[in-house]
Amino acid sequence: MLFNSLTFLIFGCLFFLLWPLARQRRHWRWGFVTVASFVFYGWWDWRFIFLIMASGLLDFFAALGMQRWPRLKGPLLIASIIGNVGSLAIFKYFIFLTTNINSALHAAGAGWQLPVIQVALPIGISFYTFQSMSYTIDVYRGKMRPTRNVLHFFAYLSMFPQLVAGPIIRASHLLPQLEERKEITETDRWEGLKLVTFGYFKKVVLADNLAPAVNLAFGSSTVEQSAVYWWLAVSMFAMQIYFDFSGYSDIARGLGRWMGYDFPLNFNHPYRAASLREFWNRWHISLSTWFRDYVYIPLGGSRRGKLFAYINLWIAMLLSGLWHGAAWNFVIWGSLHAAYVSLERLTSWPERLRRIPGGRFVAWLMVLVLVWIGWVFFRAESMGQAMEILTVMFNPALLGITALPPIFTVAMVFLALGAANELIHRFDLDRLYKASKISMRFAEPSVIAAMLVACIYLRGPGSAFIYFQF
Amino acid sequence: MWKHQTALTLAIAAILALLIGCTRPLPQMTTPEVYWARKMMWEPEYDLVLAGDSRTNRGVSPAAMTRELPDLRIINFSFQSTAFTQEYLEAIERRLDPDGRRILVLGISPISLTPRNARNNMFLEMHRRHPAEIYQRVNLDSVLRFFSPIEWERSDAPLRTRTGNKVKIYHADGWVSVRDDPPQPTRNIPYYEEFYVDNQVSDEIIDELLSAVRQWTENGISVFAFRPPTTVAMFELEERISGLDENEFAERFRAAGGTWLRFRHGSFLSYDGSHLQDSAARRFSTVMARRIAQHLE
Repeated sequence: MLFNSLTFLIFGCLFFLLWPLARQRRHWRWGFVTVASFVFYGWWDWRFIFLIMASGLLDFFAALGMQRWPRLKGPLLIASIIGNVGSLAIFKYFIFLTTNINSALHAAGAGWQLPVIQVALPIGISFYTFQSMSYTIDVYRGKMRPTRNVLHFFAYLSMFPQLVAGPIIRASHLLPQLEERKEITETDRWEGLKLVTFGYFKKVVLADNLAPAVNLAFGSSTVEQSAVYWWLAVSMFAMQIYFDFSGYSDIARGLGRWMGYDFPLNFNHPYRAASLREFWNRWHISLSTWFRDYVYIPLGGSRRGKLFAYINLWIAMLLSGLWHGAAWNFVIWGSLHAAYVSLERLTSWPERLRRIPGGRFVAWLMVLVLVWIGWVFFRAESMGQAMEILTVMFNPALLGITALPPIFTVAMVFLALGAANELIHRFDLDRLYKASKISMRFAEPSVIAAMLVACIYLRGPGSAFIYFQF
Repeated sequence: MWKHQTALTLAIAAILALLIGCTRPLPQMTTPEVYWARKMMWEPEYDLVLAGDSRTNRGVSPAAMTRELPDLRIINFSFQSTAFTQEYLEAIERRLDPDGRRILVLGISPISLTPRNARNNMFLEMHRRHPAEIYQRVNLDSVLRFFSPIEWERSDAPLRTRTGNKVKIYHADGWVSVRDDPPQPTRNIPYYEEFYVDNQVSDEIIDELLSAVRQWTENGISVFAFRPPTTVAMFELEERISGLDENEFAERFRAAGGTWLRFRHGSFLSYDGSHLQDSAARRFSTVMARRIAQHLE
């Protein structure tokens, strides 16, 4: 079920109509959230409900087992990790692995090949698997006590607003909230409405109106020989993926707020970053902190010297790239960012730049260029196309203005609108209407109402959220 | 925090949405499916009905024909992947006004005479739907149109869809114009090379069609037919493998009382090797309308 569909509108209305009744008692609440979330997820393909159930039951019982038999904590954790990573390997990486092994076998002159079995990719598998794994790891580390109620656990794991595209929520954050029956106040309703509106605005108005131009540029069989064209196209994709994904997170957080729960911030205006480390502290925060806490730090982090710190960083970044998809372009995207961050640690160039006048602006611009280069690999249809696009982008001879396709004109309006949206936050321009109580009482509702109406009348050609495929 | 902030916001949004919805020019429809459903609901009130498959659907503009035949009410009742089956022949006739001029113009492509298209085509799919379902689809669309996004180019324009560089416009008179920039006049040739394998034109469909033509002409209906112009390469391919002998068919069509109109292949630009680009379709429609006007005089 897509957030931007009529089906979800009906589902959401029914859910929030029944929620005041269902949330009165713990067991009703957990059961209701679990059933609703399974309906939400099963709408795509009901068979995959069993996959979440299997993954969840494994971790639920593994965690209980760790509490009951502390001496078996290690083996139980290994069983949980094998189960989760195994399901990811089968459903997400199997084709990629076998295809690459077959290529290697072919190159080595082997006369046989592994069978390539087509397996459908369950939507959001990377999100809920990581969420489920974090639960067992936290119980193993003694950071939290496992829940004894399977419905309580599944209400956490399958919580529909964030099930398929995050944010990835830690059990220690959400399980205690699910225990409480929190009164929903006007502040919750208002903050929820603001988040949902911002989220939809980002997705259906900004991202969906940028999508046709991006698809045209990257879907073409030949690479347009104009640097301006590609800088625009890549900027549009950078904005599209940001608004698409952060829009989903905002909607999820808003729906959570309406239910009385607080989900963590997932995007904090990443394109304002003046260093790559800052970028990763602002982009997909729930994933980068997951890799930090469950991969980078357990590997030793920076505790075992500089060399190991770099090795651990590369492992975490490469895995982060692979998390996004089973393809080489994601591996390259991950390694590119690993290289960026390594170089930054080695030279501290953003800090050095910031010491000179205007240096912060230059650092910000350089970070944008580096991130844009990464997006080319992320979005390109092939490695060849990515390299050709980058060659055009950095060729001064191709900087002349060319006639842009009409579809770009519309997209440029939304690119400007998206940039304006970020600038409003950068310079805190919304303080203008927050100046007095009266203006805040009427101006803010009017702005939110206008954004809501824009979601109806200015929405772009609808499409699924980009991050669903991960 | 003011306690009515959420309610106030929703009220402002509802008023704004209502204001915009009521004052904006409404699009004619929201999805191509509604377009085809509406076609099925056309009443018997036309003087000239065009029929055929996608080549006629995309290749003939009633609006362009009206300039040459100003007194006639013309519609394009063709559907993509459609064959001249009994159900379709009956449906074509039902769109004619019994008190009007009563002219049928059939676009005969080899595809429209093949058994595969006769078994599975868009007209049959719509025809087999319950009339109530079609009615609901069209009426629900009236509500959805109110909330449909505002088009950037022309809000009151017909429905348009875009796939890559290809823009399709669904005109109210039944014509679906297509513009693909740049056109690729050889793109579909490989597809048609496969299409006619074990799927050559059927004598049974031809016999049924000619029998209907005979009956129509006996009942005073003027029946014209033409082979929708395409590229020379496509024409040669279909001559070779489709199983349609155009000269023989035209002869039999004339014998059944109809008028066969012949046009030169390759004279009109095709965007994919099979269908005409919008500008070429307009030009072809004008040329054909002139020829029909000459015959009607």
